[in-house]
Amino acid sequence: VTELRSRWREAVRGAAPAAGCPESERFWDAACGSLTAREVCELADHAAQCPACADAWALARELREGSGAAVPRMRGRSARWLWVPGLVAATLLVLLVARRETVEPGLQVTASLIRFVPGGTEERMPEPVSLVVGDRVGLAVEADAPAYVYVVSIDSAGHGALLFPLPGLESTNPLPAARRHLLPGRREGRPMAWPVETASGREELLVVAAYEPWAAMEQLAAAAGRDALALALPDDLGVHLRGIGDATPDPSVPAPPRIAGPTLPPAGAWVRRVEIRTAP
Amino acid sequence: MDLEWVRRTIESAVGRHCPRWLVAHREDLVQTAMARILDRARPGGGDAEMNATYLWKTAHSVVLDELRRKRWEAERPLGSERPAETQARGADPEREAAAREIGRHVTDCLKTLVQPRRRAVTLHLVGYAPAEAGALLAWSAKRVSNLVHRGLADLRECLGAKGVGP
Repeated sequence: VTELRSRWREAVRGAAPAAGCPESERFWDAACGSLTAREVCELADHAAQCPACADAWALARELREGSGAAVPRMRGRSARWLWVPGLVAATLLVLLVARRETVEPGLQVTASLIRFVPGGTEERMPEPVSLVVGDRVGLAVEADAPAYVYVVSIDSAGHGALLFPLPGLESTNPLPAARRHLLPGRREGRPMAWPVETASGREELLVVAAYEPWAAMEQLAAAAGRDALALALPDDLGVHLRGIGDATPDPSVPAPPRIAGPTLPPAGAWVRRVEIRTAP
Repeated sequence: MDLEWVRRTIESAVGRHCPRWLVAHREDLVQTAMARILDRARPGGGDAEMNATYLWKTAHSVVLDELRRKRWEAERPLGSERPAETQARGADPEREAAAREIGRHVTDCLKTLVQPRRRAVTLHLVGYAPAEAGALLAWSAKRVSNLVHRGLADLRECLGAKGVGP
């Protein structure tokens, strides 16, 4: 690897930039840690195919290092608040999650809602998803690395419920990489689905994927009954479930536990909102 | 600002960055770069830290320009000859050709990597340690290490398929 890097660096030294290359100052800024993670990613994508810019960046890094300046520190993430119409007061969870939505370029995830059609076929639902009472749905998800995946349903009043992970399901976190997982998956060998039980109008599914466990949701899931298909989130996160899933309290668990410790998802989590409209 | 420090740093960077065939011009390159740096980055009072920052930024720009100019001069086609001393003291056409070929293959193979691995490997090739790259990309050092490890494995496989190996 050392030889490879050395040869590659030798090949790119002094290469001429092409039209469309970023200004060389951008690489100096990158070396100084003055760019956002997204901007650095854009530069990296360009430098991967442009020897001149890779060379400019390497030179910037060396000069920066030689100048005695400190190694760049982790920059704050440029959080972008999501506006969820009608849910302002009750969507602490949404806001906490959404702050993380914008920037993490790392984990590559695809997720789509699936409707199980009688007869055993699957129908991928375009967004915004329209469902009716009686539909049974699941989520197809795939990540490029082992990922801790969490699925949360939030109704139009901002009440939320954890749909995945839950005890008893055969699919457990972290979900293996590079494989399509259909959630909630099987329970005791039987394929499961989330039923649409009430027509609550507008809802959202939040899908969160991360390299690390989301401690708050793991705590909640651990307290759920083994037959539950959903777990109402506690009051301090905006509770109650309507629409998708079954929030019937499990008698063995009188009330959801209060979450101890941080409630935020892990840093750098991948977050996706799926808008759903439910009708009678 | 300690200009002798700047000069030493530039000498060091140019030494690492100077193509093998340009070794004979290294001192000229440093001299020219220093002259242009001093011309462009006159520390005329004001914030000392800002001046130092500007000076280093200028140094980057100037050294890059000079390296590119020298390379362009050396590579310009018909009717123009490569400087005699370059040929005499540093050039090894076979090695240059091999390096260019490897560079081209690496660039081609980088395109085939999945995006996170490509980004991590690119920063690795540029010279960043995992912790530094992680700071820039807002990833953990561990994640960068894993991506670099897997990305380099992909890269080796791709290069192997092209007949490039150790």
